[in-house]
Amino acid sequence: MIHQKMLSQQELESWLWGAANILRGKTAGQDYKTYILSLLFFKRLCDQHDFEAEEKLDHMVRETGVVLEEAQREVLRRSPNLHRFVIPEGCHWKDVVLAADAIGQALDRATRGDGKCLGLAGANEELRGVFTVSWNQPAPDGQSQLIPNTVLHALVQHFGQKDLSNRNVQPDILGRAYEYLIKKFADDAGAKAGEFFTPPEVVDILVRILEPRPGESVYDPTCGSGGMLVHAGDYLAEQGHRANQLRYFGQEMNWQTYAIAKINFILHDLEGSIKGGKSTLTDPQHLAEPARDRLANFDLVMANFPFSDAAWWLPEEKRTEEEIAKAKKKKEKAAMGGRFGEFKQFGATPPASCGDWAFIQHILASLDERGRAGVVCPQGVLFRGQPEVEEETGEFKPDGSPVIRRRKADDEYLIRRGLLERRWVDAIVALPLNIFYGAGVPACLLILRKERPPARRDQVLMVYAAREGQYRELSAQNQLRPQDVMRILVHTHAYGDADRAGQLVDQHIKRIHAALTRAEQEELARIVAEYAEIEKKADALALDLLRAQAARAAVTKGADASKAEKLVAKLEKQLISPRAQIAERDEQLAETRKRYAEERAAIDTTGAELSALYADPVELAKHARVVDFAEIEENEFNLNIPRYVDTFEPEAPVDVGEAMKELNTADKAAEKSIASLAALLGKLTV
Amino acid sequence: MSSRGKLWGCQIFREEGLPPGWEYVPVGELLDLEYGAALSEEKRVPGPIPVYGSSGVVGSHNEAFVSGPGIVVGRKGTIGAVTYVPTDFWPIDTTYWVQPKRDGNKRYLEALLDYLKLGRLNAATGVPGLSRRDALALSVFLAPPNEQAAIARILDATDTAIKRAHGAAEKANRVRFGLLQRMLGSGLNGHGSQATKVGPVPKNWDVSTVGQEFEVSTGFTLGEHRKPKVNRRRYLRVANVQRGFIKLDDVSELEARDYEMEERTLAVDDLLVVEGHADPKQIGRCAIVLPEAAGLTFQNHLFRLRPKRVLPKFGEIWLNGLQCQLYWQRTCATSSGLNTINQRKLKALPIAVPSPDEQQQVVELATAAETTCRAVKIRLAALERLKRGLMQDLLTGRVRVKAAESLIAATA
Repeated sequence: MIHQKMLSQQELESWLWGAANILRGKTAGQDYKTYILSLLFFKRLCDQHDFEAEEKLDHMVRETGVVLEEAQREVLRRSPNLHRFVIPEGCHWKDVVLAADAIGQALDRATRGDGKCLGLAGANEELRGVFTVSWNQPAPDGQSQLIPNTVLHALVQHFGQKDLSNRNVQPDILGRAYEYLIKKFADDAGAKAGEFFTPPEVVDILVRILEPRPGESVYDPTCGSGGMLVHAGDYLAEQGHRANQLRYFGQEMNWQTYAIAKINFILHDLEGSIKGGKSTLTDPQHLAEPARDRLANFDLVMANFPFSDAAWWLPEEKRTEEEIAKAKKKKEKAAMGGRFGEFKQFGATPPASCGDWAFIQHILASLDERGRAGVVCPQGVLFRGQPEVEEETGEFKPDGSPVIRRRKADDEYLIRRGLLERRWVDAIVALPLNIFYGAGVPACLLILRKERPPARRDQVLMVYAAREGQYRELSAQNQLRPQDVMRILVHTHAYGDADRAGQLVDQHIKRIHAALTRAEQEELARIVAEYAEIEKKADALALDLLRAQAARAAVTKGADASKAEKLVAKLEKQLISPRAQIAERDEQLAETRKRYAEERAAIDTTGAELSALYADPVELAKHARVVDFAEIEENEFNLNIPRYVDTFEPEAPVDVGEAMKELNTADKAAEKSIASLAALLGKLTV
Repeated sequence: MSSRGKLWGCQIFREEGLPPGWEYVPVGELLDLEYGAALSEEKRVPGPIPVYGSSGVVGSHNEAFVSGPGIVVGRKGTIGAVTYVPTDFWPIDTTYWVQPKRDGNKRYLEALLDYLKLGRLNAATGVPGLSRRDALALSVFLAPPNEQAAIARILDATDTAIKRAHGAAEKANRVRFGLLQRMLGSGLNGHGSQATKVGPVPKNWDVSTVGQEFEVSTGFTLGEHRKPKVNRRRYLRVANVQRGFIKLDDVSELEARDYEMEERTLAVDDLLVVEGHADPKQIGRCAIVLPEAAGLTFQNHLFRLRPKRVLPKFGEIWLNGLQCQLYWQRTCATSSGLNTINQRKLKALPIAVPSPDEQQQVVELATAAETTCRAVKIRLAALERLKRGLMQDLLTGRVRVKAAESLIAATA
C-alpha cells in the first residue's frame, strides 16, 4: 500500500508546528501564523503542481500505450491542461530555494508578483488575496530585514524536507493538519484568537443541530478562518455525501484571516465564494443577483460574530478611534437601518453601542423563507432592553409623593419581541462560561428557523448547558467534552419528547464511541511511531545479546571466555536505556488506552443519565424545557434562561429533628468547654 | 396555550405542594415594595432612628421615614437581603421597604421573603439590582393567620437564640485573645515583662530565636519536572496552612523520588509557616502537623520548623501570637504584590521560652480557650442550621406547627 509510506496526520502536524517554532518571535510582533500558513500553502501548491503533471502523464501512458521520452515529458509537463494552478516562470518553490541570499524577495515575487512577474496570485484568479504577507519588509532601522535571511533560510530548509503533494500526503490529512495549526495558533494567541477561531466542539454542535443537506447553500457572515463552513462539509461527508455538495459562502473583514480561510478551502478541496476586506454589516458582499437590491438568501447560516461590536455601523476603513468618535458625534443614523433596511425589520434599530442585534438581523435577512441558522451570541441578547415602564426614581416631590419616570421601551427589547412574535426562535442553549477564546462573557446559541413544524410554532426550547460538571475545567479556559456535546444535541433534537430522546441517546453513543475509537487508534499509532526507531534499535541489540550469550555458552575458559563475558555485559548495558524507553512507551500506551476507556465510560454514564432525565419531568425541567409563547409574553420577552429553567441548586434539606439533636450536643460541648476554661483560668494567679 | 407563569424557573414555591387550607399567591398581592429615600451621610442628624441600607443599619437620624415595625429589602448592593426592623426607621434609596397590602404577621412575611432568595432574581433579570416587578411576580404559600403567628413565634425564638449565640461566640473570642496576649506578654505568674524585638515578653522567660529552637527547612520548588507522573506525592501549599490548623480538603500532588522525600516529609509535631501572602496579616501564620498530615510533603512557599526543645504546640501558639503577627506586618509589608519572609528573617525571629512546666500550662490554657471558641461557633452553626430546617418545614407547610412544636419539645 502506498498509504504506508505517506505522512501520517501526527507526523505532519508535529513537523508543521516545528516550522512555526522557527518563525515564532521573529516577525517583530507581526502575526506569524499568517506567514506560516501562507508558506505551507505555497509549498503545497508547488509540490502538487509537479506531482499532478506526472500523475496525468503516467495516466496518459497507461491509457494510450504511447512511450514518452524524458524530453517530451518535459515539454508536456508545462502544459497548463495538466495543472490546476498556473505557476509563472521563476515563481516555483525551487526558484525560492535557489535565491539563497534574497529569499524574502524571491518569496514575495513568487507569491504576490513584482514588476517583472505576475506571481501566483496574479496568474490565478482563485488565488487573489491569498498571499497577504510580505517576506521582504525592511526593519524599522531601514538597514536590515524584518525577518532575517537566516531565519528564512532555516524555514525554507525545513519545508524542503517533505513533499506535500498527494504523492506523500492525503488531501484530507493536509486539510486537517492545517486546521490543527489554526487551533494551535489560537491556543497560542489566547484572547485574540476569538477573531478567527471558534472552538470545534461548538462548531460541531451547530452543524449537528442544523443538519446541512446536499444541494443546500451555507453562509457564514463572519467566517474567520472558515472553520464552520469546512466542518459543515465534514458533516456532509460523514453522512455519506461529498463535501462539495454544499454551496459555501462567507465574508471576512480582516484580509489576513480571509487569506487563511481561502487557503483552508483550497486545501480541503472545497469550492466556495469567500469575500474579504469589508464589514459584513456595512458592506455585505453577497447580494441577490442580478438586481443586487437585497441580501442574497441562503438555506443555512452559521455564525460566531464579534460580540457587542461598538462600531458596527462603521465601514471597515473608518474603524479608527478618531473616526468612531467623530461619527458618534454626528450620530450616523443612516447606517443604523442597514443598506436594505435589514437592521430595522422589526421597527427599531440596534443601539450604536452594540452590534449584536445588527448581526442577528443580518443573518435573518440572509435566510430564505425556509432557512435555518445557528448563531453564537452573548447572553445579553436574551435579556438586554426593557419594555416601557413607569418607575419611581427614589426622589420625592415637595408634597411627599414619589417622582415617577416613564421610560420608553428599549430598542433591543423591541427587536427581540419582534423576532419572537415572528416565531423564528426555535431554541436557545446557554453555554458554560469561558469556552470561547477571549470572550469572558456568558454566551449562548440561538437557533433560528423561519419554517417550523406547526406543533412547535408557539414554543421555544430552552437548554441550560452551563451547569457545573457539564464541562471540563481547564486552567485558562473551559471546554465541552464529547458527553457535554451529546447532552446538548439530545436536548435540542428531542425537543422535550422523551421517546425521541431514547433513540437519540443510542445514536450519539454509537457515533461518539466510533469517533473515540478512531482517535484512540490514531493516538496509539502516533506513540508507536514516535518510538519506532528506539524499538528497532532495542530489537537489534537484543538479538546481538542473544548471539553473544550463545557464544559465551560455547566457550568456557580462557581469554575467549572473558571476551564473551565482556561483550554480554556491554550489550546488557547498552540495552538498559532503550528498554527503559520502551517501558515508558508501554506506560504511555496503557495510559492512553485507560483514558479512552474512561471517556467511553463517561459517554455511557451520560447516556444513562439522559435516559433517566427524560423519564423524570421535574428533573428534566432543571436542564431543558419547551416553553410556551404565552409564558415568554408573561416574562415580557425576557429570554434569560433562569426565568424558565430551574437552574438554581436547591437548598440542602435540613432534618429538624437531627438539627435539634446536633444543637443539644453542641450546647453541652460548649457548656463543658466553658466550664473547664473557667476552671483553668481560676487557677491562674493574677 | 398554557404558561407555567412568569419566572417559573426562579419559583421556590410551586403550586403542586400547596398544603390544604393554605393560599398560593403572588407576592404582589401581599405587599408592595416601595423605594427607600435618599439620605446622604451629611444630611443625617444623629438620633434615635436607625437608617437602613441593603445589608442592615448604616447610621442614625432624628426623623423616621417609615413607621415600624417594618421590613427592608436590598435593592442594590446586598441584593435581595431581607431585614426585619422592630422600630420606626429610615430606609435609604438602595433599598425597598415593604408596604403590606393585607393584614398579616410581619415576622412571618419577613421569613417568607427571606426564603424566596430574591438575590437569585439578579441572574434572571440581567439588570443589576433587584427588579421589583420580578420580585412581586414570585409566588408563595400563605398560611392562615393563626398559623402565621405560630410560625413567626417559633422562628422568632430561634432568632433570639442565634443572637445570643453570636454574642457568646464574640465573647469567647475576646477571652481567648485577651488570654493569649496576657500569657505571651507578661506570663502566667505576674513577673512583669522584658523588651525584645517583637515587643514585651514575660520577664522570667528565656529569649531565644527560631533558628536556635527549630530546624528550619523549605519544601519543593514546583516546575515542569515536578508535574506528577510516576512518583506522585501529596504536598501542602500555602492554602492548606491556616492559622492554627491544616486544611486537608484540597491537597495537590507533585513528582519526587524517594531520596528527595527523605528531607521533606512531614512528621507529627512539625510546624509549617507560611512564607508569603498578598495580605500582610497572613504571612507567618503557622499550624502544627497532626497525624492526618504526617507523611505528606510541602511546597517551597512553606517553611517546616522541627522543634528541638520547645513543646511543638507552644511553638505554634507563639508563632501565631499577636507579637509575631505585628512583627511580620512591620517588617514585611510591601506596598505592592506579595509580602514575604525569608529563611534568614524567620531564623532571627525571637521566641520567648518559659520553663517546660509553664509551656505546658500555656498550651493547656490556650487549647482550652480555643476549644471553647470552636464549641460556641459550632453551637451557632447548629442553631443556624436548625432555623434553616424550621423554615423549610414550616414555611412550606410540610410540617405543621403543632407537630414541629412537639418535635422540639421531645428533643429539647
